[in-house]
Amino acid sequence: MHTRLIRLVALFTLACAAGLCPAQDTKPDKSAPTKRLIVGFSQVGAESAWRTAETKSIKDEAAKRNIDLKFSDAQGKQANQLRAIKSFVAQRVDAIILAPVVETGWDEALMEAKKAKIPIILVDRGVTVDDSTTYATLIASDFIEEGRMAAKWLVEKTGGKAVVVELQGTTGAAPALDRQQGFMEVLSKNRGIRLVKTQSADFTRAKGKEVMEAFLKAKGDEITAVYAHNDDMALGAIQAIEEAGKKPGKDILVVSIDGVRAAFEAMVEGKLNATVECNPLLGPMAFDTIEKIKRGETVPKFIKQQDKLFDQSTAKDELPKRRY
Amino acid sequence: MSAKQTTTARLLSSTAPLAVLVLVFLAAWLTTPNFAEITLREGRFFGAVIDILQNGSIVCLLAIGMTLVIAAGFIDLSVGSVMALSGAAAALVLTSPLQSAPLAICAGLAVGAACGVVNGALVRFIGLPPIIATLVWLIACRGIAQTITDDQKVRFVSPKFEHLANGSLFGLPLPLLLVALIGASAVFLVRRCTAGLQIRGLGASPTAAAYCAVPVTRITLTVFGICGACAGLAGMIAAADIKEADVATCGQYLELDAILAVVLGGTPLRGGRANIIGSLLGALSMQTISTTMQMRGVPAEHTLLIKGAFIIVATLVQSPALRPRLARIFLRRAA
Amino acid sequence: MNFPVAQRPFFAGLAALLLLYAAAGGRYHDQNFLSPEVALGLFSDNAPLGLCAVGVALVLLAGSLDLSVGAVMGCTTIIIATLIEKLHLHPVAAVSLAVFAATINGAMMGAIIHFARLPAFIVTLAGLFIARGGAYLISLESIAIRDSGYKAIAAWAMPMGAALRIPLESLLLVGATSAAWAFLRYTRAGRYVYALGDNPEACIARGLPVARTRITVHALSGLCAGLGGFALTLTLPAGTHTEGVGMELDAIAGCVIGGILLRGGAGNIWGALIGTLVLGLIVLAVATFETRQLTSGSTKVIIAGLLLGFVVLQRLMVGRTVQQTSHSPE
Repeated sequence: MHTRLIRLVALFTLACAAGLCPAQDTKPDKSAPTKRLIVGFSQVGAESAWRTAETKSIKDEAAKRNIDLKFSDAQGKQANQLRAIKSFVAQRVDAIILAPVVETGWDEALMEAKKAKIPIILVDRGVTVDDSTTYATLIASDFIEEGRMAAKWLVEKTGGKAVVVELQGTTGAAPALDRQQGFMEVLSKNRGIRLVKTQSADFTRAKGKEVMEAFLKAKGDEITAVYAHNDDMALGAIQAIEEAGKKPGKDILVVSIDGVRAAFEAMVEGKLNATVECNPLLGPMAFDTIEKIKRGETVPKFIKQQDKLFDQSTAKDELPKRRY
Repeated sequence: MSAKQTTTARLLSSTAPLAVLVLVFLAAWLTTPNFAEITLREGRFFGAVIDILQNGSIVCLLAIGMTLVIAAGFIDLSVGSVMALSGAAAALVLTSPLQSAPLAICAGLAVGAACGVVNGALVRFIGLPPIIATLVWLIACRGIAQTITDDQKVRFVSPKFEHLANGSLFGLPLPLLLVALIGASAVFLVRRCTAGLQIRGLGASPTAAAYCAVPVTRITLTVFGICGACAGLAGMIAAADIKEADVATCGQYLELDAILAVVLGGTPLRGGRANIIGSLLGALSMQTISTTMQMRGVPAEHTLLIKGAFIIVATLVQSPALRPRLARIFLRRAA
Repeated sequence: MNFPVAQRPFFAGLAALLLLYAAAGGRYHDQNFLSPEVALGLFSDNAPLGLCAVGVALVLLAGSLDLSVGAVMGCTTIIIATLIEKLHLHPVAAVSLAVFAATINGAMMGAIIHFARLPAFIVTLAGLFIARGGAYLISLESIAIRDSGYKAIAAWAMPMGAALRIPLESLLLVGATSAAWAFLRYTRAGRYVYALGDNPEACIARGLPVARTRITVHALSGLCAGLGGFALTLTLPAGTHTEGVGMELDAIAGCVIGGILLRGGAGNIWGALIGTLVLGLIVLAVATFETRQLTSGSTKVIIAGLLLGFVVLQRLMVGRTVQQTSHSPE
């Protein structure tokens, strides 16, 4: 009984001692001539190469500009992102970069930041809020336009006649819904292109391969084209096509979105036909915007990233330039 | 209940998983064109059924390990993350200057087994409940995998390693043969070896097992180690399949599928019995449904509902409450 | 202090929680960790998880299991959002209907578990799939709740003292736990729950209402999950699919940390709350207050490490007297 009490006291002391270790390794240096900007960045997680490229871009850019970046990984949960925003507000950061995991439910958190006069830069996905003055700007690609571009390329390449299957992103995710919407918009005006099968492959290569295998077994020789919401799924589909004894890029056209390095390599090999770029390297633009806001300049509400479509003709020249 | 009814009921219980699989196959065959088509191309078989066997081999492997762990009275929630870590380890070996496929496979298996032993140690030496210990390891393992790969996907080119997933022997995919081999070994272990008896004894009653001089520590570490090694192999097959190790998504939520396969196969969750073949059949039933849904392009919301309904129906068929009634129906028909 | 053996993990958990809180307070003292806002925030942010954990605790005490709590919680938010935004129902009506649906869902699962004698794991797992599929069926994307009446309810908080305001979801969490505690301790039905979890055969032999008890706990679990969904819409005014994913595992872990045995029949319902707060505290500390440059991977490793440290600490305090295994010794 006594030993237990002693043990408890010892543990308590240890715990408090642990508490004295510094948690922050960068203290804001107020005595320096130019005050460092402190920016909070709430990221969704690290679920895809695109996501980690986005994080790396922002981290690298912050280091380059000598900005004190407070990074918070939300492990995919919106609740963690809301908490992170509240914490950033409490820590009185100069600006907040937010990559929202979903589009809804942000009103209160953004309003808190607005009241504290902290500008919010949304990256890669928009939010639906009642008061749109609660965020300063959105830097993102237009997912619907990406879908349209992919569809238009397909119409041109096939002369308006094709049997296409679609590999969707994660069910209910904004990029997936929008990229599908854009694609279907163009398809509705070009009746020669028939969409025979569509399934979610979760934005992953493994699932893309699995679903494409199933499509090939179901529709076999009918399929002439594949539209994937991202490059990973397209690369998986390419493997499935190869294993089925067909030639991806020739027997079955493959078009996707994102523009990652692996996609360009596949295009050089002749296996992928086209990809629409969706640039995750938003670091420079984000910090440029923050600095503009700090200087008092006005910034546009939606800084739309110009996405380009790349196909096999330009792939070889572009490949060395690809940074993600 | 007459003796005839008892025997029939018992027969139903052991063949129920098989019956479920057959029924699912039939349903798929009747409703989906091209389902049963199997062609021979370049010395190997191709077809939806082959895909099911190949894609299902990952959950089958996990289910084998999980059956042993559950039979011993524990549970292992970390198998998905162990898959990711093993795949990453193998991929890192393949992209390092060593570049050796056999070494990569050894590394993957070793990492998997080591993860399993860590789980076993947490349960046995620190006395944590298995659900907590393996939950902690689930989070930690994926974190370690993300850290050693710097959150990047690790792509590799190694035809020898890729054989794990894409190779074939006698026309059948290699993963399938691996599952058969390991499954057979596991059945042998459970039915014919002392260790198998000890595992089931530990699961049935840890107190009695201790009194019967069952080497509890050794058995605990062994079952978790085997489960981890199976997960390691599964992870390597998954990586070999797509020629890259994707630590963020590899194996996510597969632990639930594995446990479901085990329960569908008739192994009780409280331990004491091990039905390896049932688990394999359960895993294949689930995969058949997945593949059929994909072939038909069924949207996710419907797939989830169908999966839920299937699970209930499949277990109802094996339910101890319905078994005697079903037995009576069959016997009345025969008479 | 002579704690009954079965209650030791709970008190050890409580002590360890306070220790952890003190340590965090010391470490983040320059970030205002020990303020009442942070403490209230801990309750408020973890209200959905806590309510699910209370439901799971009730089910575990009765010797059963409920894996569907996370999915039911998520589905409830979708139902509430749809009823308010698409069908323009009054917020009170919408919430009542949604929570009622969750309760009925729980009762149905309980009935299937009892009368068809299927394992609870299977039935509630099927319930998980059906709830998730149903949620997608109702709406593929998340629905924002814009209704001003609802916003007023969400913004309401009970004032306490001069500067403190306790938000509705925290009250809901503590209220639900108290109600569950009172039910278990002071009603006969509550005692039947413990009896059923401890020894179902003896219950049948004594003629206790086993079917009624089992169905009741599952219905209560559904009710708690529904309330959890309501609590979620108070902090996140929207119907979402993603928040409930994996929550059942966290809820079960929280219960086990709080000293509720997985085999049933023993444990203190407040343990569910303690376990929830522990999980919430760890995630809060690592994801929000730790301002070092952490990567996604190291965040996970640290969370796991802290969790491990916590249970080891708890173990040290309890000693080896209580065997927590997932099956009953026979």
